[in-house]
Amino acid sequence: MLQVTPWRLSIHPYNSFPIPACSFEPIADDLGKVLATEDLGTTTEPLHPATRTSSSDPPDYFHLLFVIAMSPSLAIHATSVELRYGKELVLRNVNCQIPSGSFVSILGPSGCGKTSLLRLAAGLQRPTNGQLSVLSDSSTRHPQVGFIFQDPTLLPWRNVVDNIRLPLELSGVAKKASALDVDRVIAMVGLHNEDRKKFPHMLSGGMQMRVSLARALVKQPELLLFDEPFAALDDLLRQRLNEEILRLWQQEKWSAWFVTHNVNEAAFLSQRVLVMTDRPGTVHADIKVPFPYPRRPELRATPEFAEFTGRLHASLQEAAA
Amino acid sequence: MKNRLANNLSPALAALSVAIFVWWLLVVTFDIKPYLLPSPWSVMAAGLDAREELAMAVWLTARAAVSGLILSILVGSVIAIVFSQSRWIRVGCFPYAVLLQTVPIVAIAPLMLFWSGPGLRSVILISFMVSLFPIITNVTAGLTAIDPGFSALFKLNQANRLQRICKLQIPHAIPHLVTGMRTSAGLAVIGAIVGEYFAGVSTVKHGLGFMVAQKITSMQTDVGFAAVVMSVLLGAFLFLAVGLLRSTVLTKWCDSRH
Repeated sequence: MLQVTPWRLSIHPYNSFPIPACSFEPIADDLGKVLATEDLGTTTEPLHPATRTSSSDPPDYFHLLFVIAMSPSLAIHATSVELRYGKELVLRNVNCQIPSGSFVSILGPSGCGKTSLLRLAAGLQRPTNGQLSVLSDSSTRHPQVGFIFQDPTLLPWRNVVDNIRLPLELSGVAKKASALDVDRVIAMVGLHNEDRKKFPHMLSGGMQMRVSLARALVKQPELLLFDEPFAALDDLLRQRLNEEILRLWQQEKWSAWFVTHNVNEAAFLSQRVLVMTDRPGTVHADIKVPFPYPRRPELRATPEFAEFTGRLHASLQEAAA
Repeated sequence: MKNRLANNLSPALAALSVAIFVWWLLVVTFDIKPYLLPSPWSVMAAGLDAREELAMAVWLTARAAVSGLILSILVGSVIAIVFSQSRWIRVGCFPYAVLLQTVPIVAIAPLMLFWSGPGLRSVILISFMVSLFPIITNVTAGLTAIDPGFSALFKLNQANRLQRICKLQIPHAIPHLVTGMRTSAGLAVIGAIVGEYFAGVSTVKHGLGFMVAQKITSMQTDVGFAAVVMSVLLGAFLFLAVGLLRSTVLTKWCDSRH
């Protein structure tokens, strides 16, 4: 039986060795690299089906080393992820691999479990079954994951600068030491100097979202998780912010997992779109987006874009059926 | 700002004028004896005559009420922080906190007097007991009813319990504390007056509660009425002071949330 254990299993998801002696270390209350794993009885089996080896065959170490060397570094690797809320099955058999530095969108109907999948990746929840590893190749002990919520989620008693500084403050970085980082992200997301001392209720919806984005970027994350961040904004503002997200992604090189139910947004932003089925959600299709970067706003008006979004619509309808 | 104040104040002043007129009309029409119900003008005249005694009484009652209120804010907030840390503690202890609200203060005031003796200390203690409950309930609500997005934000950033309390729960509870203070301010004055009724023994220096009891039993109903009016004004003043605190110092918390 698969179950969540309170231990971090320090193995690479692509590891093709039989694992006679897995090393375990206590999981801190952080975003662990492996958020859930099978129980000890099953860990002697390879985790990836493609690399499963029989215990009677001696492993081909040269081949294994080649596979490891050639494996792309992964930001997210989900294997047979299942999530239940009580008896209700929310996610079933979710399998996907998101290479580092890529921009992947998750598209699906409302209530299909997109946000739940994102929360699993953020470490806010643990899968009921299966395995989800995040930034397993990160060189840092605590890989930085940024999360952009549906609402800006700004603390109303803190001004713009103090809201942006919050993640650094919670990590124990002194106010003076964090000033440069805060200035950098304020400029990066296009906030003006006169906005620095404003409180959230003094800002428009778009400005609040920029502050939220700046807060997620201030710790220089390796992975950014977007949970339908622009769903409440008007179409024009959404498009403008989409363009800025792309600019920042190309500039900063983080990996992005972007949840949306807007087909145009998914097509404009991403390299790949994962289309999910209705609840219990699973990945129905993994569609490569054929447009090269940098993507200009005019792309949205091209027949190719319309044709591609039509394909996405069709896939979405097929998944919902 | 001035216009808004005038707009809010004018109807209230008009209603007060009508009430005073009806009061006067009742006294004149039914020829009510002054020791039963003095006319508004005789109350005003008696109040002016006894202004020094009244001023001293207002000062003593205000001191006791404000001290009781401050004590209830401090103790109530600490109790609420303890309640907010564990559902078990909250569920286990909250019914006993409700006792503060349900036990009649008139019944336990003599007990307080017995325990801590007559004088200011007992009056403050009674005022504190009466005004404590709204602080506990409101602050506990503010500390626990945190938006799940904020909780997720702190969890994502690996905030420890102390950081969560200091940087999220306490600032989030401030508007709730102010709401509790508005209720408690009036109750603190009532508590102080009830306390003085039982414990304000000095005939030279006494608060409004003692003065009302003393003047009415000695048939100086008009002075007693003046003391009642001053108690009402004191309660209203404290209520307004908390409102002023809310709209000035706490603007950034309150304006965006309520």
